[in-house]
Amino acid sequence: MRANRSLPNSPLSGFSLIEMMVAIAILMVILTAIFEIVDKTRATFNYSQSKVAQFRTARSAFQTMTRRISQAVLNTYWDYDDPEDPLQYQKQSELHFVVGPSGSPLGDFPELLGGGETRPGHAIFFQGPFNYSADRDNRNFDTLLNSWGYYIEFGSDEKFLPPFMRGREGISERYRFRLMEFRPPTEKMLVYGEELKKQPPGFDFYQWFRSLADDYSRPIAENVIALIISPRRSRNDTPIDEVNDLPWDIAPDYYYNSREFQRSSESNEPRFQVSKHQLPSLLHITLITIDDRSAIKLEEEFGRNVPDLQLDSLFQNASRYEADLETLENRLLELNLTYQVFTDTVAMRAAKWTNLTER
Amino acid sequence: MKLLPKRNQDRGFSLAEVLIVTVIILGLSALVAPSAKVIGNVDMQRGVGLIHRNLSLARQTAIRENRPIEVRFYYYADPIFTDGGKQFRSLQYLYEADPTDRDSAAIAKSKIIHLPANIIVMNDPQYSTLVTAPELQGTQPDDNKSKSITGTYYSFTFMSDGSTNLQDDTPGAWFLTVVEEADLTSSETLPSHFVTLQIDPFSGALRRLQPEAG
Repeated sequence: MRANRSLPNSPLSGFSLIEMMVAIAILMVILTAIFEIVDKTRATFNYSQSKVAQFRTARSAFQTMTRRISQAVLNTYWDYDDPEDPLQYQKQSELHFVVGPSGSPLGDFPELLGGGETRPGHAIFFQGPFNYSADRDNRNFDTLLNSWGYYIEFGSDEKFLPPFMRGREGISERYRFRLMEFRPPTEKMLVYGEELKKQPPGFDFYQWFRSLADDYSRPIAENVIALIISPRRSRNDTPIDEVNDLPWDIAPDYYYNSREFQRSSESNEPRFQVSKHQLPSLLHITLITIDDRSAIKLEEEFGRNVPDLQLDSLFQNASRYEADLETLENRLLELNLTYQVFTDTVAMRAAKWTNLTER
Repeated sequence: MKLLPKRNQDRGFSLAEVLIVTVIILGLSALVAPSAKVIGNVDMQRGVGLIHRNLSLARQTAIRENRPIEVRFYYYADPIFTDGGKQFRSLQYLYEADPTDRDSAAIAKSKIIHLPANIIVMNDPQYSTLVTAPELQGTQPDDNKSKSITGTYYSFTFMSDGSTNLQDDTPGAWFLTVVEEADLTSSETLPSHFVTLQIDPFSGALRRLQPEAG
């Protein structure tokens, strides 16, 4: 019946060209819309993915760093204060532990590395039993000492890319802040060098990392804009400044050097006498990272120049830490950047804090 | 029931009509094509995601359980699509065998993770050091119960502190490159679409690199 009813209108005539064209056109419009939606969804997904991934990478690097730092050693021993004319025993060490300004000098203290604004914030250099040797056969030793360190650096990623990608079409250099890990093999451990024990002036006891930092540092996280390290003593340790009794009185300006007593033997502040061949009990470490979208935004604004985050006046006085952090966060919000702050207090395993001035 | 009317309805389309329609379809497809390309890329991104995720998982397992975890990349011809030849098509992570005990074998921690069909890791030292360095080569998989894979593998190990056993620390030394097998003209030529995963030998940090689209 059905067929009969429609027969007069010739059902077998098929679709006309116009009908086909209209149908195809509609189909195409719908397909375009679907692809568009899929594409947008994917972009959103990728964006949130990359944000999560960025912060995950930074967290992982932060943990790697704090684990390494907690293993720092000075291998101290007790020996005569003066081998010619011994009066008492004294703490001695052949190693070196230093925390301080990375790129630019801070007050009287010289910068650890130099490089000005390309190396903002603080740097840390130390030795630890990390057993890394350039010679594979030495791996069995298990506790070979290595020089180690961390700092922030701004620059191109070109030299850290796989060789086949360098200068390849479609691969552009990325100018970013990075968390750098200084890790020369044990063969390059210069800390036993003669320089370290010489009396001032006219020697550079930062030589053991300054001369190697460019060749033996590798990025372990991208888009890390600040590293702040505040050496502290634990509550039970005897204060240096008994009136105020602040946990950071061993490094009120974030500067801590187990060999600072060598630099200025006459006018030595009490804190440098105390820090002589000592590791601080605690290190309060802060890492601030932004996501890659924010980094791209900075790159669009500042190009190859160091983005102006106005960090240089911050983190010079440990009692102003909270206020400085707030200033920095406000600045990042002002620039509309997505950021995350990681903080941890690391207990130094090898620290046996004693305050000899109390005797 | 009458017979169908024998008019000229069954003559089909004329050549001109077909040509016009074809031209229109082609024209419109060209407009849609850029959006469609996005979808073709999904398998590759999924493959890279799989490798990335499982390397992170292997590293976390090593840290959490405080024992070395070995990651293997299997190199074999796909038993279904046999024309593909031998390629790196899957990976797996295992508890590392005790190096001091000759008889001990690695114990599987994960299943064998297969990359999407047509997605492979390039087998050329220029593009994938992580699966071609001679010191990383292993023998026949010994714990291979889930699927009959016959072939060699390359492996490296995540140590319990999250670092790796990769010793070379020249900048950009360790990476692998993921491509579509169909894009491969020869084993040494890199197709225009690829994603490279770079790993830091000390921190185990992974980084994803790919050429910008367009």
